[in-house]
Amino acid sequence: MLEFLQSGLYTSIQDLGRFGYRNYGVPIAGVMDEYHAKLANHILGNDENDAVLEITLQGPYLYFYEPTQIVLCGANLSPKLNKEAVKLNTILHVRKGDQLEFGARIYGVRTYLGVKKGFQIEKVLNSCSFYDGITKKSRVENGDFIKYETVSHQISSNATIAPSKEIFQNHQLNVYKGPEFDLLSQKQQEQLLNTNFSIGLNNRMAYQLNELLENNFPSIITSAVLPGTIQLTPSGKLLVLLKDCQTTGGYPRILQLDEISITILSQKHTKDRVQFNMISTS
Amino acid sequence: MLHINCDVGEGVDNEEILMPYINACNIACGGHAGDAKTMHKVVALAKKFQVEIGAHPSYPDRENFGRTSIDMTEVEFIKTIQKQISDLEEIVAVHDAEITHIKPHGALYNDVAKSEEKAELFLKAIAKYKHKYSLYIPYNSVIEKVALQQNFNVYYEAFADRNYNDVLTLVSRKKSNAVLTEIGEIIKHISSIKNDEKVQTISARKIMLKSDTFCVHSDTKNAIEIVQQLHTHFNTKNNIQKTEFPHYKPYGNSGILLTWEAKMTSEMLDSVLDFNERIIKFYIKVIIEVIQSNNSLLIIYDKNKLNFKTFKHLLERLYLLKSDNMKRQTRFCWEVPVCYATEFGIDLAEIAQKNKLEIDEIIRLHTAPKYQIFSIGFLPGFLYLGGLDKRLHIDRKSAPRLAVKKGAVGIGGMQTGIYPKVSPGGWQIIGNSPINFFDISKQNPCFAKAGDFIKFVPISLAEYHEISAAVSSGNYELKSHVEC
Repeated sequence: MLEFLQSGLYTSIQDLGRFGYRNYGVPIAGVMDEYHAKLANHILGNDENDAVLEITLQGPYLYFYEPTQIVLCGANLSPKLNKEAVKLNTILHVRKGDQLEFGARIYGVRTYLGVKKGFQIEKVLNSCSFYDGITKKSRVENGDFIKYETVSHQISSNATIAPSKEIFQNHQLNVYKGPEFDLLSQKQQEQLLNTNFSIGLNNRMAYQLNELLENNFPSIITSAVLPGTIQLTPSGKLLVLLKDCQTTGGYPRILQLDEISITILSQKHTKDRVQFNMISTS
Repeated sequence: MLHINCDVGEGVDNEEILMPYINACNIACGGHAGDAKTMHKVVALAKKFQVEIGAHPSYPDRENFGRTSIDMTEVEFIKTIQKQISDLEEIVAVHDAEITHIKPHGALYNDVAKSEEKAELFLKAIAKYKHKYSLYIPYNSVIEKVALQQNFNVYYEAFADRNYNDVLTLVSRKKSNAVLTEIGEIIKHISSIKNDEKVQTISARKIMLKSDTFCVHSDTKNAIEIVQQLHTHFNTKNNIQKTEFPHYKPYGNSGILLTWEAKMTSEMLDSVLDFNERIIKFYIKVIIEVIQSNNSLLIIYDKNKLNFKTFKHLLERLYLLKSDNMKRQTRFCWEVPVCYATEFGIDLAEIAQKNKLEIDEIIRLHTAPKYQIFSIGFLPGFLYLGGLDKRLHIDRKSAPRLAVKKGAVGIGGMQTGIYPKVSPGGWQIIGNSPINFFDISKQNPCFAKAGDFIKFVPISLAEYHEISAAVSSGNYELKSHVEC
């Protein structure tokens, strides 16, 4: 068992998402940065859909009640095990009574904590992913407990994987044309692809972009949207939908991010800049 | 018209995407591949897509996929061939379908084409089916002469995607020019046989070759593209005119968005929902998820199996294939209790003032229609309803509320709906329903589905509390009746 002595800014349990219920209006949810969440599970030899902790900007303060192995991947939030700095992307051996805490943000936004065999959480509609109204909680709170399996025989390699830093350095987001892209004028299309956008308010539902795009077309009949869909709102603001987004929407869907760009954006912080790079569907 | 056949049930597992395009299939019946499970599956698909069913017997040699000649006693040989055909006959009977033809497989196909002894033996094995089933064999082969003498109903078969030697045998697969994969070449090859009864062999000679049916190898990597192109080019299998709707657009790299006309009518909804049901019943494995919303379907597919163009073609084909035995899912009308008391109907007074209506009139207008559910979205269990009386249309509140109560019944613009959980919202609130619209403990978390109807039934405050208590203790059953 793991206790949250402090929950951190926004910490939740996630797997790869809740699929098959979108026709009932249930969002996919799931890890924002699939690349690093999967990496943590792979290093541990877990199933890639095993439940991990998604930690945002300010990490939690954790107390471990049983021995296990953990891996941290993604943003560098200066993790410390029993006050000693520890590395990302490698197996960390945790003993009974160990404490994990985080410090200053060095780079990135979201860190994933994977545990050997995954966190033991009851699935709701086939997924462990927290989502308000589907699971009891949308984020962990101070004093919460989460179960994991005890792993006492700690035989494993000490190899550290060195994943590419490009995800954190890249500011180019690959986009496909969205279903309503062709409604944009030539001028709007150019503006969209030539602007260096800065990130405004953001959370697991959506990232807002600050620079406005001229908007003169009406809303559409409510239709399906996906994580990675970029909507143009009536005020001209661009809204990049992410994992907790609603299943349908009525704003024109002008662009769609590819999978790796969702990961890249998920590690961007308020005021960071991004630019779109148009690619075509196969 | 071009007649196309494919060997199927051999483990490639792409039958459901080929069937919409082909005329006949030859089903592996246990000799070189296939078992009861695959035969059932393929026969059911063939029936659904009105594809002729053939038995595809082989030397009993699963190890070499029937590609090696096997020495057997006459008795053994006849026994295995008849067993394979009768096994398929039994399964076909279960599906109330019929076998139309027999086509020998692999090494057996080659042996009977060149050896009189093997040809006679094979025809002896299938003699009892002579008047029931036709026989697929190559033109100008040894078996052709014997079969015609014995009055078998012979269908000449040529290979759409294989090069021929001068003696009309197929170029060995060991050679690099054995298989045609480029669509243009295949069309040229088929056209020559079909129109001039001549095949251009690898030595560039034109040799006479007749064909009633063309075989496309279903295990070729681009088999699906080949049958699609042949279908378009030769107008095989009732190639019907394209319809105006739906429109097809890529959405991301593994989604395709189908959009019908932008009119919220129940005819439009029927087109969308009927196609949704049809593709679910066809059970196309490349489809991962279908998300219906008002006048659109977003289909998420496995991009590793099909690209956008091929998948679009397949969907267009499925859209035009009218299936006779497709029965629409039963639609229900749900009677949803709503309390319009002022403690719930917090915006009734504002609507009364703006729309110049008495509060009783608002309630009467709101409870009069039978609303159809056009889709479920926005929040888990939120129903998009069509059919609100024009006199009740009203703008959303200028400043949305931070927390609208669970069960709140509201009006926003031209729509009405119920908040299934506490949520921020800008709709004008006129009442509250004590029932649950989303219950994670149920197999179907939402009782209603798109296409169903909702009727609001006004209840008093006392009834509200009664129903509310019954709902919490799990003793409340929502009233409904079958609508159509």
